[in-house]
Amino acid sequence: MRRPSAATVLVVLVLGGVLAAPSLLPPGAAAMDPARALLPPSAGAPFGTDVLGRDYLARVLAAGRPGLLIAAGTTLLAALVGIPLGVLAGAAGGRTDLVVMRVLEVGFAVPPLVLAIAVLGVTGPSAAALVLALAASYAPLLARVARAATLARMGELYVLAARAAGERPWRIVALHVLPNTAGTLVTQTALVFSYALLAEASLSFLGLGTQPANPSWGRLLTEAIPLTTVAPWLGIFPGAALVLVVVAVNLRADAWGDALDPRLARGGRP
Amino acid sequence: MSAPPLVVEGLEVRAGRAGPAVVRGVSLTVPAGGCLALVGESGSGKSVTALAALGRLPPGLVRTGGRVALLGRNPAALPERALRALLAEGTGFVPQDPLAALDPLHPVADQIVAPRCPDGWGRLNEALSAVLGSRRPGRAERRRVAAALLERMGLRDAEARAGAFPHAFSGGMRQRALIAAATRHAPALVVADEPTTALDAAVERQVLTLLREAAAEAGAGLLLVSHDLGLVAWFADRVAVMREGRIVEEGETEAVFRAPREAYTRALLGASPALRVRRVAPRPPPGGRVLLSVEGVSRRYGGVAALTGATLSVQEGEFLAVVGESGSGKSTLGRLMLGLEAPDEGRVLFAGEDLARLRPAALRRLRAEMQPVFQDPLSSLDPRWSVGRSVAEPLRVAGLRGWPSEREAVAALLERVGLGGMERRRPSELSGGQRQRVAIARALAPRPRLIVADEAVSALDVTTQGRVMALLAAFRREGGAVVFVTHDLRLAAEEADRVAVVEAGRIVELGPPDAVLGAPSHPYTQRLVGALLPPRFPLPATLSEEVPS
Repeated sequence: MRRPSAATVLVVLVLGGVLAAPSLLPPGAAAMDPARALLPPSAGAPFGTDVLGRDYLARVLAAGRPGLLIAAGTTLLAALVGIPLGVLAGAAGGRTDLVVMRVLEVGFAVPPLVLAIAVLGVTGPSAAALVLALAASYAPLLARVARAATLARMGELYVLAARAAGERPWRIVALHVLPNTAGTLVTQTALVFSYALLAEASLSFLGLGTQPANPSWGRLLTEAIPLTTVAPWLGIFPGAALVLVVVAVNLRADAWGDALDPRLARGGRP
Repeated sequence: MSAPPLVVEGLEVRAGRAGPAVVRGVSLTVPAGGCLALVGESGSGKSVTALAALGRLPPGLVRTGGRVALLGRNPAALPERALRALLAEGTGFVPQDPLAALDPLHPVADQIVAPRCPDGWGRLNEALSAVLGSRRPGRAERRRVAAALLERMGLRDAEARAGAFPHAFSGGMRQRALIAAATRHAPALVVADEPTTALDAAVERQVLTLLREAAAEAGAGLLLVSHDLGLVAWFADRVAVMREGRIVEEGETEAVFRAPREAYTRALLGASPALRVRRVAPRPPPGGRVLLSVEGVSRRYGGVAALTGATLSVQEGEFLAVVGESGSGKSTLGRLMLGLEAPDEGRVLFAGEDLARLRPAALRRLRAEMQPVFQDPLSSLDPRWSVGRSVAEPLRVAGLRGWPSEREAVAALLERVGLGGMERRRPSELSGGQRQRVAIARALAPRPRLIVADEAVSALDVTTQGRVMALLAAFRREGGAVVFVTHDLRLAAEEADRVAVVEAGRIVELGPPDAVLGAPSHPYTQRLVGALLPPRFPLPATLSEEVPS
């Protein structure tokens, strides 16, 4: 068993902390206490307290959940739609390729945030609508990458050799093409997760994402603005949490992507 | 006579400081104006020795002992900048792969007259000297010098070509440009690492002659690294034979040839394509039925004709060699024969079935009967798949085809190609020759009637070539037909029942090897045959009777 990398530890700690926050923290942690308002970080309250005297560590942890769930949902949906379409376009080529890619390229015409704002403007704030809008923007991105990776694999001699052995086209894709593109796709999918997390934070920051009862990192940042000089920790901790998750997820995905490449996994050139 | 430009004594190189020794106590001297050939199989340490002499060992290899005097200096003790200057002014290097050695983004002239320094400091220097009165020649000047250099290398239209980009150069032209670059500044030492491996016979001799002349003109010592003993016999004054990191035999070329002391040297001589003579008695054309027939087939890629009106047939149990230069259309012919591509015109019939008109499912069923072996065994095996799984793939598709079970089939096939018990290895864990034998085991798996081998041994060294050829010959003896696509006339002559010569997409000659190669009627075939080197020295009597196992 190898030693887990720093990225793995970070991902487990942050995700575990966020998801388990409500049960981990002492029951009174989220309670308001005006007498303890805006205390700087200390041993008793490592992240300090907010305007209403709530423990800020508890707030930051609880605020991670909506963003992470929306980012995860978006990534899952974008990958489930984008990757199969991209692989199909790359493997089938010709007219299929043309039609699929032209349709997907419509998605590139609208920036993700603009599309999300437009959709949320119609539906009102809704996690499902947000996931749909963001996934619609990121699916073409994954499709492009999947298509390019598939095209490269389709040109490999071992694919020609599989054709010469009489393998069916769909089996060639499943046995030779997909496993050999997995590394690239994992890395790109992790990137989409980061994009989606940042997009959700941006929208919440603008007041379009998660609504007041449900805190999110973006909202915490908005609320921290007027207090920047008085209580800088209110902005620093949610901001740092965002950066940490993005970096950790990408590092982890890079390592995973490399591990899926047999040439890199063995630590040497062929 | 001036001091020898390169003296190596007791050189030892290891893979990592405490790792296994790759070069074990090698001593050699390259005299000024002379040529020393370092000969051995791939993996014998000859390239590593040459690189260590230049102070340019690849990462992972460490010089752990011995003395190197390169133009009187020890490259390992020099600071990087001084070493770079010493190499730039005093030495020239001709690399193995002319395709990879030229940057596709810059005109050839710029690369052979004023090679770019690859690091940032070099670029900065270059920019500074451009501002402060340039030492780097201007564009017109570079083109003029390059044209003169290329002209000396016997390139036609040198003036016009100097400004062209590498993709407009053939392999032989690129290698000549690189020789021009390596000798332009009259270096004291030229190191050539397998300079002709990627070239066909017609070009090989020209290139080596040019290299020898250019080095002699510059008064440079030449260190020629090669696996082909017969070839270097023509160009080297002295020969050092390397095996497993040691020099096992060294001496005057003629002495080594006339009386090789070591069994290993004799084996290398026997394996040399430059010396190989036809040992297989000409066979009468097999009177069997026609297995595959190609009728008036043409194929174009984006307006360029790759193949025009090709007609030929392959009989059951026949060994047909398809010979031609790279780009002649011979690989296209191979793919059309396997139905991997459809012809634009004409038909390809396998056992009477028109491949282009078969339905996809029927074509897939027929594929078990005809199997490919490609040139590059690393890319033709899925890097994620184990050897056993790759060999079994055609059986998964076509059924067991007479094998008792998949596992037994794989074991028997790997045993047959000499790789018994290697089922679980990955391609990256095998040598080039082993990979190609895996590719052959895979091709044999469904018991096909035809194998189309496209340059299947070109990337291999001579001893490994022999083993692969023996496997194909064994397949033929069992009644299979082989189409052997190659640029190597000698290999074609050795095994083939008939030879087809392809030039610029047309089959220009077709017949038994004795007729085609003994009395070539087409100018192109004459040129190919004329380039074959006869042995320079008579071989020891014992050697000419040896038959490769």
